[in-house]
Amino acid sequence: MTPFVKTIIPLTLLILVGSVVYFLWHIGNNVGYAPTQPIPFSHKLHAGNLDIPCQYCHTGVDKSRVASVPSMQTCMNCHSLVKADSPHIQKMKTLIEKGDSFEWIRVHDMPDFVYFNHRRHIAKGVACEKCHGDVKSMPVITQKVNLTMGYCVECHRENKASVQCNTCHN
Amino acid sequence: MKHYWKSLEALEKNPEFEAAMQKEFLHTPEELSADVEADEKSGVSRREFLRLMGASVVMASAAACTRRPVEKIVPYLNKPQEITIGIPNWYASTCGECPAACGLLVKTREGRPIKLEGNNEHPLNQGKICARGQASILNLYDPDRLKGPMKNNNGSFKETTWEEADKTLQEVFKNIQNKKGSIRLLTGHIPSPATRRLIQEFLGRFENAKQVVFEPLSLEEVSRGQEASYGTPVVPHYHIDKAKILVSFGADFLDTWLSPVEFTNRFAKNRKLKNGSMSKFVCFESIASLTGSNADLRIPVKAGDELKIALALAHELGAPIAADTDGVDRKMIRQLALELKKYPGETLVLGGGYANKGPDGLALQIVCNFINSVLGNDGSTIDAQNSPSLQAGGSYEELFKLIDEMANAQVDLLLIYKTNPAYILPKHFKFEEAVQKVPLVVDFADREDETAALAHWILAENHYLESWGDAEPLKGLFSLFQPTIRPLYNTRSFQETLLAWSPPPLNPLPQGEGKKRETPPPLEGEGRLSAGSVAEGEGWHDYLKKFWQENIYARSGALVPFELFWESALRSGVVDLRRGSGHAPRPFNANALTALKIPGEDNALHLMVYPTIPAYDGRSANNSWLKELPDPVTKITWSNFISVAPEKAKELKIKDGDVVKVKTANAELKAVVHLQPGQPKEVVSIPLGFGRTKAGEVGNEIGTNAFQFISKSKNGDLVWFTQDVEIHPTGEWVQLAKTQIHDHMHGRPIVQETTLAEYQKDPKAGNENPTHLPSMWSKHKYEGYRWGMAIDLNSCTGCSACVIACQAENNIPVVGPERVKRGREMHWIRIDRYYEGDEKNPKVAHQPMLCQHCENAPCETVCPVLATVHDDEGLNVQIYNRCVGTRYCNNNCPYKVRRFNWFEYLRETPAPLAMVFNPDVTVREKGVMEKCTFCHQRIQEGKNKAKDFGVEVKDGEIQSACQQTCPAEAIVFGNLNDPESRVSKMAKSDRGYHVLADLNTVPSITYLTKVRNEG
Repeated sequence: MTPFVKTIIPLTLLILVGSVVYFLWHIGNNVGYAPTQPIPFSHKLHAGNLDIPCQYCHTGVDKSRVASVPSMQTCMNCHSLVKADSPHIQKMKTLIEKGDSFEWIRVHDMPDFVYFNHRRHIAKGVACEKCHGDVKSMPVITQKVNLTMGYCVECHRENKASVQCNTCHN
Repeated sequence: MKHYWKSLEALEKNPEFEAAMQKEFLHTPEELSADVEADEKSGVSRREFLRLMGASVVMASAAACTRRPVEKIVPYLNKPQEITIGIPNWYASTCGECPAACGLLVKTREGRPIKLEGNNEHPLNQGKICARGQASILNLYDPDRLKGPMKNNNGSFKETTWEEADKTLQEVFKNIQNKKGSIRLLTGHIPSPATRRLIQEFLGRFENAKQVVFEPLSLEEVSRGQEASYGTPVVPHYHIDKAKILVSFGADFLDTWLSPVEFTNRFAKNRKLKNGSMSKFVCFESIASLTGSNADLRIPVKAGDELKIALALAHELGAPIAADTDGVDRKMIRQLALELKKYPGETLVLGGGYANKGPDGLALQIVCNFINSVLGNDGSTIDAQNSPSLQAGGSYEELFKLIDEMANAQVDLLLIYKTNPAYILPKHFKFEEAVQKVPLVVDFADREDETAALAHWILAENHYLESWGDAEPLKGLFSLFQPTIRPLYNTRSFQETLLAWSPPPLNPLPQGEGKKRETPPPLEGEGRLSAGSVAEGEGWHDYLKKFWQENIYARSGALVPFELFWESALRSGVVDLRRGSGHAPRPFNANALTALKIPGEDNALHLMVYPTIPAYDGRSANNSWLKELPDPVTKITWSNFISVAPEKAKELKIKDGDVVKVKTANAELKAVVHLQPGQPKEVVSIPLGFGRTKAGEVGNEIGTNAFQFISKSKNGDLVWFTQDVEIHPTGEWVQLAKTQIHDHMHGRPIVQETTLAEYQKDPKAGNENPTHLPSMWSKHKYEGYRWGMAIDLNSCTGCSACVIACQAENNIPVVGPERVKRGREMHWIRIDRYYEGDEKNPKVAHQPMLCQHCENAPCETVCPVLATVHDDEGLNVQIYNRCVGTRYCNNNCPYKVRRFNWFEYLRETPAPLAMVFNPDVTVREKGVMEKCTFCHQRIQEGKNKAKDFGVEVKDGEIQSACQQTCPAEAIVFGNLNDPESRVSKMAKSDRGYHVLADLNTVPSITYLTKVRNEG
């Protein structure tokens, strides 16, 4: 066996194993996830161009563990007049008349064994963009941050927040 | 140290048992593989598991290429203003589980009730509720509930519509009005004044209509005894907290008698050793009840001998009646009489329970009334005039009259509400045959139960959490029911239905006959609602409001407009219009006493049937939480049994688990033998509430229906005990699902106790807390909070409310009898019950046992994956997503409080049942260890609230679920780092000790020694 082969085999193996590990490491880490939603709602338009504050719609964010997605009626506050004849608004109207609502696809999704509390983070002054990315520039909501445990813990360490297991798992 | 034992095998040093205790594992691998076969038989087949596993393998590999499963967010169409997603709303209401009518707070999340707690502002239960109250929320989501009204088509029920039911029945009412037919309404005890009024009005529209109240666990004999002694039939309100000496002749007031939450709370208030003293409780009883197990002095007596002893006591106190004192310990009675005389007006003698339900029941009441009068208790610890209890009612006599009427075809229409006589009344009463002679039977029931199955129409009834209503547990104390969820199905409340029918009024209002009715007495100065006062389109809610406006509001003297009064009543849940509690002693009618017949000698074997906390009268038999709740005395789950004294069992040549035939003059049924220490030799007893045939999937065909043994005495009383019972072994043997064998503690000082006299000499008496050994581990530092708990064994009565509160709060699964037999029950908190001394009358101690959150936790050091670790607030935390299920921690835990998920218990929870889950607590999966977290979600919430204001959590702001509901207030949770907190004061108490302190685990839970007032 030539020294070249002697080096290349372990090196190839190393790269192979490395890429498998890298691949596995990123399973379930949804960076870049941007599913198609029932209607092409644009945060860029609403939060960016029109500068509507996040909390106008996500009313629970400073009160509850969940930020909450606005009720259909909240959309209709404006859209009963604004762009009322757009096909997407029409679609929404038909749904409301039927007594149904949209089934939005969750983008930032924590596992069920993780307890995350929005209210605590807002109270501490953590900006929405820190975890959700620059929503104001997103026509389609995309996950920008990997939201793994490492990501959470790193920030908790930096800010001297609790890193006890049961802070998030109970 | 005292020698404690948990079961008879241990006491007798049975070699098989000793061997089993030495074994590390309860089951060998062979036994476990037999278990798998058993599982296959019991429906959880291995193939099913493989299929599930196969499915999850495919899912996992698919996920590896793409992403985790898609989750959807479905927003509200129009969000109700009061709801913030993720934040609970609380509503004040009333518990509808039993007639005691405790005040409730209902926790709802996103519009669905998920937890019940006692209402702090309610003077009756003061924020506490019992195990059955806690579990009643599960009945709301019971999959076996009716989904709509049903009509009987030649033996099978078909779903129908309310319109059809209303139309048909309104025709029926018209016909009955025209031909002056007879209507009978058979109900349970109705604690609601507005409903009683509605019934009165409704029935008043017919010439011949009557309400008959049948409550199986009524206290008819108490009110009749009061009538004979003082002239008015009334169930008094007993002030147990004012009694320095309490004597009970069979009244099981800590189990199910009258108002158990209130009584447990008041009883325990006198056991806190404030100023170094406590009450004394003497109990004469003929079975081994939970109440008796809490007595300082318990005297087991033959069934019916309570009267004899009460008479001897009365004689000692100067009663003008001779007492037959054969077999009565006269010295003890004399001493008791002397002690009672020391505290005039500050003692209480209660008679009741099973002894009361016999031919001598009335006599016992009269004798107890005499004793109370002589001791000056009437008007002081007994309130019969200001605000007596309205928590019991019903008349057996009326019931028998009704059965006769029906059998003679004199009833044209029978309406049944809130009672299940076809299950309760024994076959020889011929209720079923009688009902079949009624041309039309309508049952308001929430399921097709035994009685509903005989009906022509079943009008699906709401759960109480879906309905409006009110209650008056004590005269002048009113509380409201308010719906906390829209009815899950197409159901309608009884009251709504009566209003919907509303036939035109015939008579102005019932007179003459109406007054004789067995409904509790009408309110004083009640304004009359004119018949049909509810306008078109208005319903029960409007009726209730009007009723409150014209009665409660009018009497309250409130200065605010009614709407404001109503709002505040709804908010606080209760309106208290009682006037002072003391009254002048009533003159005792001495003739009542002299007219008594003294019972003769009788040595036959007696059979007693009695209600227990989990089963009560069988109304919630389909509730799996209650089915798996160990009976507080026997620790048997999922079945009833026949308790036999060990001595008697030897005589009968039967052993624990033997199936025997129990034969009385009226019935012959099979039951499983349980050997009960402390059971009188002459008595065998069977708990009520089992053997249901139409309760639902969970509750059907479990155990023996002990109601079958009830009989009727010559003077028309229901007799609850049977003389001359025969017991024949059948040769069969079954294993009862007991929880006590698995948790044996090898005779170490787990429960520590002393007597009051010793305690008064030295508060440290009985406390064998060894000094802590030096630790090999460095100490944890707790800079902020350090959570800890203290449990007062002198207060704990073993009522087990905490067990169900924990189950509801923490999404704890039910595992079924087969797995309980293998020691796999999942309760995070259990009540260990220890016996001490003579097996004929052992002393009993109850000890809540849960994760001790040890400083040097043995579980933490053996976990190979660091799934269980110590946090910086003193909690021993279990991280489910790290746990790989080695169960090392379980094996290394000296307290045996860790619970392992052998199966996927909760994933397959049927649809409505899953709605009861607490969304703040992870639902655990198969292969994961779990245990008490000190209700970590509540700690988080409490800390969050404090952080919002930038302050520390105040003492008492965070309550664990077990502490919150504990009727005895035996459990205290809080911050040990705060020297002023209740828990740290208790932890430093002279009575405080740690369980198994010699192991140097340094638990965060301090137990306080039990003190018996034996002197």
